Amino acid sequence: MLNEKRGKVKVCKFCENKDFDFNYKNEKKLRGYVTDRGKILPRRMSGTCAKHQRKLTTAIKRARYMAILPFTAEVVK
Amino acid sequence: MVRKYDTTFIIDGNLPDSERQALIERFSATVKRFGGEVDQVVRWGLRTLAYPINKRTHGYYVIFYYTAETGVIAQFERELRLNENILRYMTLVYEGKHPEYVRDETMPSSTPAPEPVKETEDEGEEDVESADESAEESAEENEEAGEENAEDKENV
Repeated sequence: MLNEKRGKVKVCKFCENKDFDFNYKNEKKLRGYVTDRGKILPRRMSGTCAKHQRKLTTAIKRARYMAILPFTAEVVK
Repeated sequence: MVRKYDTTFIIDGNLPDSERQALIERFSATVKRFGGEVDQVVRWGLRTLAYPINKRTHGYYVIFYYTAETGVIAQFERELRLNENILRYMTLVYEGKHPEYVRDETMPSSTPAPEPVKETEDEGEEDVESADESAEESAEENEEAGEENAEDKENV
């Protein structure tokens, strides 16, 4: 489905793949949902639905506390 | 209420193996002393911390899966908090399965080497190669420039 202004309508990846594990220890997968600066990717970029974005956010924040993901990261120039 | 819990804690990475082992045994004894039952201890192993904690850059991650009354957690966490060698800890209700990407380093695994280590090595090599190439190119350019200069002088 196409919307002229917004382009292609994204579908939430987690809704398609139901058995995704929202565990803070899952560093490899969580890395894909933060920017290279360590910020959490907004929904408008990842296309995640609200329900799964919440789960993702808690997992990333837990991972940050346990030093698995950085709070901030310097961009390598 | 009796539940299964998952407590992960980070031991100071500079601590020698023997002391680390002693710590793990002590904490598992703590859980038992307060009436809990340790189901599984997973030694995730030494990892580089995403940011330094108390000036430590490495930490040894240990996961305890145990069944206990709610009150046991408070006692267990108190011990963790009082110990200076514990950098961080987190207790969550166990979600029903151990994630397969968290491997116990003391257990023999079917896959030979952990992937993250491989990746970083590969990247390092690539960087070195590209750096070499660029160095060679710049060296060649310098030579050419040098020759041109020499020719110019001869002409003069």
